[in-house]
Amino acid sequence: MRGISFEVGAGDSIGIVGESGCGKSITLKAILGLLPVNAKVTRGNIYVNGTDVAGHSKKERRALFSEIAGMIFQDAIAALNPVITVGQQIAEVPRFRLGQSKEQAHATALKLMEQVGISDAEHRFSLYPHQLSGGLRQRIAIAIALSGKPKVLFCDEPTTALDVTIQAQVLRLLLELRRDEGLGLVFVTHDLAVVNEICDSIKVMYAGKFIEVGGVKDTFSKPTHPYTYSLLKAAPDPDVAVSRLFTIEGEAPNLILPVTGCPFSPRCFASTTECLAKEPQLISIDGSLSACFNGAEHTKWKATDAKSGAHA
Amino acid sequence: MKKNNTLYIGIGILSTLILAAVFAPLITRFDPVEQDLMDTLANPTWTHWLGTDAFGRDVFSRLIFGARLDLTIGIVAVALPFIIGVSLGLITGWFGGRFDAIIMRIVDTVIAFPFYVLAIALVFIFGPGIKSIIIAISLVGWVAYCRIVRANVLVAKEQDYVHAAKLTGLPVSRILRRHILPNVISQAIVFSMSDIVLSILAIVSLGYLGLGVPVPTAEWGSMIQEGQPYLLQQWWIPTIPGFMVVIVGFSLSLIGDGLVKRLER
Amino acid sequence: MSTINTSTSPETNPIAAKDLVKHFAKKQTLANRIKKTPIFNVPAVDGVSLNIQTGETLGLVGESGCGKSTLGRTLVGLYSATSGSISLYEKEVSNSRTLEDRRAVQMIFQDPFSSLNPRMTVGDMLSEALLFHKLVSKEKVKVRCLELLSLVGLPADAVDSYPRQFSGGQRQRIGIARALALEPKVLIADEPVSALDVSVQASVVNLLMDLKKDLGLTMLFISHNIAVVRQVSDRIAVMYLGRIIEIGPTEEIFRNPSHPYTKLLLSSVPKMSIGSQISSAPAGELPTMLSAMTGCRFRSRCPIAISDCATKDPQLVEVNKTHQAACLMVN
Repeated sequence: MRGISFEVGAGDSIGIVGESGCGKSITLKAILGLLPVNAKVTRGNIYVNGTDVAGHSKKERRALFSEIAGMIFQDAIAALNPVITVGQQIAEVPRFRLGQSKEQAHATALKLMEQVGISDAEHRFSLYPHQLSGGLRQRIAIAIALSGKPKVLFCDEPTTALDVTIQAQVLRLLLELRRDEGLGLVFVTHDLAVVNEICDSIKVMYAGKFIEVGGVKDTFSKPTHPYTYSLLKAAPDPDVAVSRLFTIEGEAPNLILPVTGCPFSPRCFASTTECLAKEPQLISIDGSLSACFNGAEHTKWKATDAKSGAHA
Repeated sequence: MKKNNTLYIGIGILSTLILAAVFAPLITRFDPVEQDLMDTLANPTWTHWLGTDAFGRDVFSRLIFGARLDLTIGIVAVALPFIIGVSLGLITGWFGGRFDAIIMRIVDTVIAFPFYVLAIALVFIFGPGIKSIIIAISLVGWVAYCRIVRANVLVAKEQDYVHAAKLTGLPVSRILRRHILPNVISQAIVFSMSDIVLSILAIVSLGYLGLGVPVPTAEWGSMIQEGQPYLLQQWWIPTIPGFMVVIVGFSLSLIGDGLVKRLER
Repeated sequence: MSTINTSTSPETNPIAAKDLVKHFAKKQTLANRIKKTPIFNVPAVDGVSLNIQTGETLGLVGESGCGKSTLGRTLVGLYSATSGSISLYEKEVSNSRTLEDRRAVQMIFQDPFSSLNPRMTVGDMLSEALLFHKLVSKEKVKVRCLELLSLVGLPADAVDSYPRQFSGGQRQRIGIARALALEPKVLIADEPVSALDVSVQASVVNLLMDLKKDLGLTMLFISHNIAVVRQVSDRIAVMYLGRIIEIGPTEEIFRNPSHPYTKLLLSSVPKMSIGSQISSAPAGELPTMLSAMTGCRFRSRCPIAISDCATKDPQLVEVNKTHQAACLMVN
């Protein structure tokens, strides 16, 4: 991560998109204090309800976050304890952090299971994770995340491993939770279409930084960064068949090497000499933020690109 | 690529020992079995670098010639189990079925069997000596390789590149040889390093028990046993051979670790 | 299941299946044998009949457990069919395939990391196939390898490199080169781009489309990604629990889906159009006791199920001349 800033307010629904290696998953882990042993936050602040927790130990940070945040991961089977019943896993936080008795926690767990749409909750309380399907497991994971009464739910590719019909169910559930409980969402994914359907704002990540930030509708209709533009055009649209898919030449940079200039410039069809020398910062263009020296001229380079048909 | 110091240091130590063993006649000045009853249990001097034992034999010579024996048997005794075990592992892993079930039950039985009991029994049947030791080790040693390779074959045969090879119409022998074997053998090779140590330990232990090579042949195990009564005065006579086993084990362990790093690239 | 022929001249179908069934036998433990518990076989492919026409790309979609991957692997010859027939250009190959048969159909695999032998160079991989089938002499093999590499857009020095030196997209290209080495007529692509990033997906898909056109190939494109399938397919077949429940031209299926499952599937796909929102129809869960189920297998999740659906097992019926669906409510 090379300089990420953003805020999550109550009820916000934020989508963080990027391709593999851009750093989106690491961003969530860094914020919540879940980094692996060989990674460290070296600079910056993380504010929880106004308190800066970046300097705190990972343990302290996790403790503070556990009161306001929940997290769900991509692979539910790895996120659930295989030797404890799913009901007990949901009841764990109410029992051991919120101070409920065993019976109270059991009842809370059943209510949560119903809330996430698990039918036959009484019976399923005593099942083990491997006895449930992928969609149900992800719902259990959501129930566990909700059991701590979080204000924000952090999601790391939660539906990538699910079938498309099950994905639709889980996404619908998240939207309902947002509508009914005012739950905020921070949704990390590579799937632009999902962000389109459930998020209000989008942050596009490339090489460890946000390169475009804005509202979903604005960004999708009027991207101001060439990478966002290219990504939107490359993503296959289930509603429209094109004769040839849009491609982006080259590969994402290896972040082991230092970055000079704009990290996207080697692959960018609109790059100029300035782009190779300095790294652009996020500046305000047409109501959103974009890290591009040529962002203001986006209509120009889009027109040139469309005319040349160079992307084929 | 990071330097693989572990591997090189291990190879360095082991090669030194092997070279010393190979050139034993050149670096020692005494015959290892030649006795000198006038000069027994001597302290180390410039003539006898490690002194002499109870029979006046030069300890240093016995040590180096002992290295010849122990290192050779250690490596040879692993070669046969390696070949048998890897081959069986390939076949049982690939074909499965009844043959696999039978072999695996045999493996379970052999593993449950205490090795030294078997070795001692064989020594009583065939008489003490190198032959018995190698037979004992071979009868028991192949199972580890079989298991390791079979487990890896079970994984490898589900890989798509093996499916692709099948779709090319390649015969099974070729698939096993070119696609499966190179991808399953690295763990077996690494294990063979520890296996050599285990074999040397077995030989040395049998020698210590008096069931190894016949007296007066120089061998580390018998040196330890013969030197035991003198542990408090001429302590080097029993301890240095033991120490040699440690060095061999250490170098092989380094080689094993180094190989793991290299083969996983 | 009855086959309704949509091709004009069946003799030219490069690959066809009739009533194809593939079960995976559940392992019988000793305990089961003693107790004589009945074996319940998992029917991965449960009666599929299919004709793929020359030069077309047939997209095969469905969710996990529908059997599309198993169907692809059975068609290509990796699995032997439990029953039913497979024919290549009208030649029956269900029981055994000759080397020429093997050349005719090749597969592209999903996982770029396990589809290439880590201990072989790219050149070795390609030469092995070429030399085994005697397609070139030993002297000419390297030249042919370089031709194949340039065909898939890889540089010449790739020939002496190992798979670990390449990115996911490049590995898929190597996999494509390997499949093309035997000059097949039919390519079965099993989720060829599902493991790749969006920007890389696009270039590999374009490559496949170009190669198909230039080499006159026929393709079966298996994917769970509906959006990608729409871009590449001429016809689409939808699978559910081991059966094809709808098949027809791509645009027709998208404009006029007839089977309730197809409708559910298409409406669940997140869209790229501005302001699109998740649909509100519930999707239900897969039935648990499949073996005990009579009638239509989708009825437990179907919004329009009637009483007949519990007793009659729907076959593919015509929606129009080119489009069939397996539902009692069609028309």
